[in-house]
Amino acid sequence: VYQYDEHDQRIVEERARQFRDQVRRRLEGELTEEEFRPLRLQNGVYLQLHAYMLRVAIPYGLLSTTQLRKLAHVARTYDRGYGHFTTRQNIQYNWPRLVDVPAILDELASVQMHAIQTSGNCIRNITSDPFAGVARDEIEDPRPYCEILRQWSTFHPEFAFLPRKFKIAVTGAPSDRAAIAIHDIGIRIVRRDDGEVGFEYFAGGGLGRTPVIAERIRAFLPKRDLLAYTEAVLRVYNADGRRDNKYKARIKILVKELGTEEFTRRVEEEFERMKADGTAIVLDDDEIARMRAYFAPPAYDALPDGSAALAAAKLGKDREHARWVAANVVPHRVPGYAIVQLSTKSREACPGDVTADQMDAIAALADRFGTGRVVVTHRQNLVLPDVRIGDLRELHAALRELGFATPNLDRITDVIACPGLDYCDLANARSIPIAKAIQERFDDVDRMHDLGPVTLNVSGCINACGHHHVGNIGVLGIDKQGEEFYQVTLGGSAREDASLGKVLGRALSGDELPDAIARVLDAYATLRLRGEGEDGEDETFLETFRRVGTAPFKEAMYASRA
Amino acid sequence: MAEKVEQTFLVVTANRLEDGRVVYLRADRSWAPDLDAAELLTDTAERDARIAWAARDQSLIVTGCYGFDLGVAASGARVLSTREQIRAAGEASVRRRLGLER
Repeated sequence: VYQYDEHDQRIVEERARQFRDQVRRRLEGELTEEEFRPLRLQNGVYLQLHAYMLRVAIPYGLLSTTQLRKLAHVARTYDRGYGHFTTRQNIQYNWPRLVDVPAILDELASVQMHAIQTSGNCIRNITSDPFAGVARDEIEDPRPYCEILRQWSTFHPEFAFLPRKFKIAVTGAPSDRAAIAIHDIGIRIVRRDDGEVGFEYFAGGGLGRTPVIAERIRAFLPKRDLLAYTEAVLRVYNADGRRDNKYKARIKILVKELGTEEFTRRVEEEFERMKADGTAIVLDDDEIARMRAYFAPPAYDALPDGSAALAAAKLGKDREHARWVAANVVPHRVPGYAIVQLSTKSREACPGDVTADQMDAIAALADRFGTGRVVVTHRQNLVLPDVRIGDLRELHAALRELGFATPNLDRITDVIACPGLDYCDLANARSIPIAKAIQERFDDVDRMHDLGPVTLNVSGCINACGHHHVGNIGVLGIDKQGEEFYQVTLGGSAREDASLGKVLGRALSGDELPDAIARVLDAYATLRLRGEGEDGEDETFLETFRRVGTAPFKEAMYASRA
Repeated sequence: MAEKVEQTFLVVTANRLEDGRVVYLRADRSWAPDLDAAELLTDTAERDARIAWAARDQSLIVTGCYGFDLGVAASGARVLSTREQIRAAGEASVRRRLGLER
């Protein structure tokens, strides 16, 4: 894990001190609301429906247990005893008092955390693969590059007032668990035929009211050029992106309007100019090695392989344990270890919400069974990346007790949900009750597992914080004359086969929705090809949808409405 | 389906500056956390005057001041947009309404 040096530490401490004074000046009338608003937003403080909301950055989703315990302390001391993990791997507190935020920022600074650049038209938190460093299919750990980009982009004077917000995701594996295709910049580490490792570079992705899958603008970028090339992309966007209409200001619109070829030409031209005039930053091997040292693997024990034990556990007589292993446990790159995913999508909780006591308990489990690290996923779950296979049964029992062992990862009840109209000032409809209703409708473990992998994402408005466009099933809340309705899309994917969902038809009421989705999944169960996957698996929901199209699902969804 | 609205009133609301909590303007020009205490206006000019007053004279107490419609059905029930229903529920947030832990 990256450790702040004295300069980093001083910056976050000074920032908290500055904000304390800004809050005082606002409360005493020295600053108007118009003057204060951009200052609070630059420190991650929004005003929502019921209260202020503080968004805290979790770079690439990685937390030490010390940091997680501090997040618990903040939730308990300054909020209502819980926090909400978001689709950008951050945490949000929904109830802080403005007068307490400077103290919260002090607390965060004491564990090398902050809320800087979690709002505003700047480069936001750099996100990554939650299995970074431990994934079996990883070419190289993406986190050193995330951290290099984070340091480069933090307080970058040229990019503090971009046309709109800007999101970057980096993955180190061909299997995309970081949703790079829906980011302004998506970066995938690749190995060329000659063995050199570099980056495949995408730009212009994003969701919101104009969803776009990112276009590849470079098949291979050498490591040394990562910052210079990214700077070239940002310069073109900063200079040519629209500032006259906030709905057309994201880089995706620029890429679409110019065309990928012309956009790429401008980036390459700027890149070449920077290299020619000597202003291009060169990321040298020493700096990469220095950063990689922070992310060096922990001292793993030499353990027997364990693959057979994992496979056996999935077929064991203890069905509950077997289901949990099958759904929530992933093979690790080190023999004898496993990656364990903690589902926040239980009957008892709202998606992404974790109480202070649970955070403390998870930190204790990560120290006891892992290596003191917890990772937040963009699907709003948590990961313990380094668990001995021999400890899985004991860990499962502890997680069950804690409410984080629901065996539903990437299943229909693993619902992504934004805060929606229950909290959010921008929302048109509630997301959380819809997520809960769908979870209740599919509260049959046998059926859920029979349906196999299917993602369902809910957003409470067109801003798409719940990533509905890229859910296999997407649900978008809309307002019709003051009443909530929900539009369904099918066929989205945020993975390496990224695609945008297609709207099925007329929006439904919240009461109609769970049964309608059940009918869609019944149709899938009838239509799917059984046992025809690579390893004899059944065709997934997404595969079936791509094969048969919308028609049978549309018919199913609206069939029994009479 | 919401009940048919028999009469519509105008209510002025804001968030308290210090902690962001939802408040409603009372007839005595103070702010209350309870919608039941809100002044019910019938004249849009009066509503606009109160919003302007809040922006001018109350900026150290509240922020984000605006007005909304409050309908009253024949049964006497209040008819509000979903957004205002949720704001009025206040700290009985979604977690409690869903019967979750808090």
